[in-house]
Amino acid sequence: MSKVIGKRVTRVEDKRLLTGQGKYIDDIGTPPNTAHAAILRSPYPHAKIISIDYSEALKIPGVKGVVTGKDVQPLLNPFSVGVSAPVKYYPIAIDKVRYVGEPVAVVVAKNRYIAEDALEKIKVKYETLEPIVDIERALEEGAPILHENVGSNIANHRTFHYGDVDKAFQQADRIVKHRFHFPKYSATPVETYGIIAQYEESTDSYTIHANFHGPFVLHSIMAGALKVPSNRLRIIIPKDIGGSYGIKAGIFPYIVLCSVVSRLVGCPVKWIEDRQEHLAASSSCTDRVTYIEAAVRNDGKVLGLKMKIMDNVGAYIRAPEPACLYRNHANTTGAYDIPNLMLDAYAVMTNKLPTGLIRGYGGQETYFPLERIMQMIADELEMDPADVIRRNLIKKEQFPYKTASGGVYDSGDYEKAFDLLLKTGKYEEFRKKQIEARKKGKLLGVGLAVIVEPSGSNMGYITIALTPEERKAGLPKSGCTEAATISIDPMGNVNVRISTTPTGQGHETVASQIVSEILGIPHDKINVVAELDTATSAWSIASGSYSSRFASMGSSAVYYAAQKVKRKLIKIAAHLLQIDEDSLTIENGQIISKTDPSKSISIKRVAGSAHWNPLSLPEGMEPGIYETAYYTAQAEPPDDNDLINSSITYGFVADLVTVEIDPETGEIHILDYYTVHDAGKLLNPLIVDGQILGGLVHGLGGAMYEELVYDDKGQLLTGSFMDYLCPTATEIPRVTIKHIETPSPLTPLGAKGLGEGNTMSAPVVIANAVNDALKPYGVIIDSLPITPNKVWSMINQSTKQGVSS
Amino acid sequence: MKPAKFDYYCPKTVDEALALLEEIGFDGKIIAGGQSLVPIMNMRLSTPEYLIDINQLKDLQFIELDGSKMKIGALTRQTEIEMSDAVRKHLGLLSEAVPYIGHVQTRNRGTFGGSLVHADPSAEIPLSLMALGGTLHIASKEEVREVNVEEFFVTYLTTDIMPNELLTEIHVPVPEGRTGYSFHEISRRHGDFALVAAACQLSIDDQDRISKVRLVLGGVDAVPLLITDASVMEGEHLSAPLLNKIADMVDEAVNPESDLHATADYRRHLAKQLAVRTVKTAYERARGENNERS
Amino acid sequence: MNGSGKVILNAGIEKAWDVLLNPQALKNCIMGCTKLEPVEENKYEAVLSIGIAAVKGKYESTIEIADIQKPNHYKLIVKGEGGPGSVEATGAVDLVPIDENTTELNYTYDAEVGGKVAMVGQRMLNGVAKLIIQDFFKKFNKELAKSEQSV
Repeated sequence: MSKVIGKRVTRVEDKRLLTGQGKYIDDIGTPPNTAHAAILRSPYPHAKIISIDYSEALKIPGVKGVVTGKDVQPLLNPFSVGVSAPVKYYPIAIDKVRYVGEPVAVVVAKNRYIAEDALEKIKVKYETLEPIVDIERALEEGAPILHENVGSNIANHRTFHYGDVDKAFQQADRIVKHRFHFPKYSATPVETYGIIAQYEESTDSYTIHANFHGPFVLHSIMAGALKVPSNRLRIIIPKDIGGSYGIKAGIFPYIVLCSVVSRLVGCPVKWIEDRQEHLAASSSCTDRVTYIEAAVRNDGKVLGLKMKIMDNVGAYIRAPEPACLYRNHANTTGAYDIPNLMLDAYAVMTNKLPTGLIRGYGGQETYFPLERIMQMIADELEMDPADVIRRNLIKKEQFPYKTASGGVYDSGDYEKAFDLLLKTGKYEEFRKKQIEARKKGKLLGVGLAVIVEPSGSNMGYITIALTPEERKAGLPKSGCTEAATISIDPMGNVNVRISTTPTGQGHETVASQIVSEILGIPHDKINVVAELDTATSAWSIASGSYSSRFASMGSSAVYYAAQKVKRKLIKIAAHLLQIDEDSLTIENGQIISKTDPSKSISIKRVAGSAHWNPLSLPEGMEPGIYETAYYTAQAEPPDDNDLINSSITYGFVADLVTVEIDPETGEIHILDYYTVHDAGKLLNPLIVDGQILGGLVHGLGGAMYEELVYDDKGQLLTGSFMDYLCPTATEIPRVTIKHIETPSPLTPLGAKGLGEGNTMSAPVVIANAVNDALKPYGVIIDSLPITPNKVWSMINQSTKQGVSS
Repeated sequence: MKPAKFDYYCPKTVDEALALLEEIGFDGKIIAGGQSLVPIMNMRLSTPEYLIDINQLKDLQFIELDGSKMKIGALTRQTEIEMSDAVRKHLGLLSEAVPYIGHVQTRNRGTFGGSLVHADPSAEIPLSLMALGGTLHIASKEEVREVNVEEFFVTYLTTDIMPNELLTEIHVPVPEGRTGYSFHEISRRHGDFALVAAACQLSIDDQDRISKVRLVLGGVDAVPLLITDASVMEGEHLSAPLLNKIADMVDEAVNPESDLHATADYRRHLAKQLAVRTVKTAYERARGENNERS
Repeated sequence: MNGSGKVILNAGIEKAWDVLLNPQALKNCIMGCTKLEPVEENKYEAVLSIGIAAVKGKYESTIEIADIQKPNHYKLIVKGEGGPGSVEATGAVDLVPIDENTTELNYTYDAEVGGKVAMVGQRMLNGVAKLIIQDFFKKFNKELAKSEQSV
């Protein structure tokens, strides 16, 4: 069997993507009477809608209809969400607007130009209300309340006590604590949301084309909102999606909106989101305030942690939130052996864009305070941060490691990876260089961060938002199911159907590698179909691409489906050749005897028999070759002690970043970025390095450039790429990537997911590096993004001596 | 993000364009590179009834050395300026500034004249022209008038040009003798709008005393700011005390705003830093040292 | 955004006050004001056609004069809505007599700009706000001079 898995195979997707032959949502043909939608959006962060007059808009030639909340409400249920707070969220404002950009009316017209002309003619009367955007102020007495029927701005609140936190804090030699703030920022795929929605009156059903990529639990939520049985909501995902990084999970309210608009206006509706809409009204990560306290022994060992975390989920809490708080629940203590943990977790609503999935999903918000406090502990104890990290890292012998909150880290060798990092990054040498540089008035700094990268979300984890009593009243959720289908057609050619809805990660390539190795067929002869159709694909609630789950879950489904096909082929071959099954193997397109190579038969012949001559098959065997495998790992729901293993596999990422700061201008120059990854068995190292770099640059964005800025009156200030700054090619530093592989014992190929790791680690490792460079000034970096202006202000305001030149 | 309806005209000659402008200029806009106009039209912040496309007026695309001045057509693409050996040789300051404008792709479309008429207070071309000095030739159906660059910029995004006029060419005096220049800017990312930018063009006599100097700062006021008091440098050698004086002068003269990307204080600080840096570099270059590009 | 400033007016305090609160004078001074009509006591409806470069808009506005303490102090509340965006601004004006022909006017303002212009125009907003205010006072001194002549 020739080895293909683990090889640096060039991507099969690239040829079409690089020659303009990709098939995206905007390339899909539409029925001739398709009309185009434009959305009128609220300019106010918080206001009552007094009246909407669209009579003038209807007069414009080419306008087919205008739809408002009042029209839509009778046809919809509010979206269900996994919290008990009775928040009513519709895809369009009903009587109130709660964030700048919230849809208020939809115009459907012959083309988008006319639709936008009509938007200008709609007159909306608002009565403005006091807005609130600050997370902590939103919790205070007298703060404006967004949802009257909820009565407060708390969408969800739970406290967790694991181990014996009080004892740990009593036994500590000292407590190190601080408040941290992580900014609200987004993922900005080149392709925005796109939907073609069609309501068919004859069957009372909806057919939707959209660049949605799961998690497909949201399909049930959409069907519930549309008040249709789930088999009357057909969602078809195109072959190519131009990037997402999680953000296109948030398209689901717009799918429901376009669906119901299509129904009301009476024709198919196409909507392609523009960039301004995307920045203001698609989705984003949460901004988070964390109060973290560490109980520390004087040798650097952390005995326990207390964390009060407040996530700003925006104006409406919507599924799958508050997953932002809980996706990393199992790995809250990161790569460290800390058995005592108190978590006080809030999901707070304010007048900002509602949140959802994003690459990293809660990881960057969790690791920012954790890795910063580890550096602060080192500073206070006058120890080297590397030594503090080592003192606390989970040891190799401790795997599988049970975390305080119920996580099970499947495998790892953190010390090996960390040592490799320090060696590759020449840490000791840099520290010496730093001392010399300070004497000359130069500000050099080095930052470290170690994190655990979870992958393959356990669908049970979201119920941790409910108390054990509340959970008992509902149905339990578990698993992380994925499916794949492999078929061989009458001419012996292989088709693979996956339900991981790739958005550019190269699933087609990796799937073909797996099938190629198992069935002994060249990978470029295998056709992988990435389009998903909820009516015809094999899928389940966990399907989709998010949580880096392809390598861990998606690949496993493909693997097991391929094994099923292999078994059937061998059974048929054994029957046709009249020899024992166990003596057969597959290689080079042949099913061949291990002991007597003259006894062989081609896959083409075997598959052909299954179609052309089914009577030649073994007794009782079905004709054809069509195998579907549904796969799940053992992912259990939370127990009564709120212990939950929120993910399946856990990788490890260790980063080292060196910076130089210009004390005159505050400019930050990243000298080097070293990162060591352990993602188990790598299925395609070429794709892996691309993913890592992408995640890294996304994290760099959060560290230094990107933020969705709202002023204190709730006005969005970064509504275009002039002000929302994404790192471009020229901002990417020199990056060195190294790998070690400790395979996962839980997946058939030993693979763990990756791609989100550096998004979680880059913000904090860069903060640590800058903080280290500014150590002579005694500054503490506790918020992001770090800009030259902020650095210069910190240097100026510092009362310490600093460096002299 | 689709623009509102407009009527589109594409004149083939300058006279045709001027006749059109006379008729519909007040409700219309000229489009050349479109790098600033198209986005604001797509966002419907600007809804001109007419667009007059001047991209066919090839007569306005030229770079010519005429004795002691450089004549540049308003329609000359920024890339052409970037690639021009003549500009590099005679108007080095401009050559050093142009690579800071946006990105290669936008410079292929953006024009010299378009940037001047757009008059963004942080833009590189207005700043460079202010430092080099020059006259702008503005044509209407009735006449052609010349305006000195010092009078051209009025306030944010506003120049002396009337809606029925067309900027046709710009004449820039070629610095002679022992001259040096320097352009530098600080921005959040490569290609972004400058937070603060500085341009300095100076000449020295054969005793290394400064004989002429123009120092201009961008991003610190409503227009590119010519530091007129910098003439105090004339007759002096460059020295540390003189550089400190320049920093103080700049501190007095600038009037920066705070925005999302930088506070007024920070801009003020950067203005001082960049002024000192560009004057120093220009002086060194005039003396024949420091020929590295910034 | 907010700001403050000081202007010297070439008139005595009583005169300055009268002209400041005269609707016709206001109409001449507010940039692009094409209509200013009273709807209630001390409340006006106005249409402001403001254009900075290519960004032009017609803003349906209300202007309210409040907290009147003749001749030293009043508040101006301006709300405007137009295509490019909306604005809600409160300004406090304080007059201090210098001599019989000169008055010092101190102002502070707090403005909330919304809509498209707020989302994409942050680089220019503060500067443009100052421009509009400076323009107002430049025109205002001209109004004062005009009313001197007509007396």
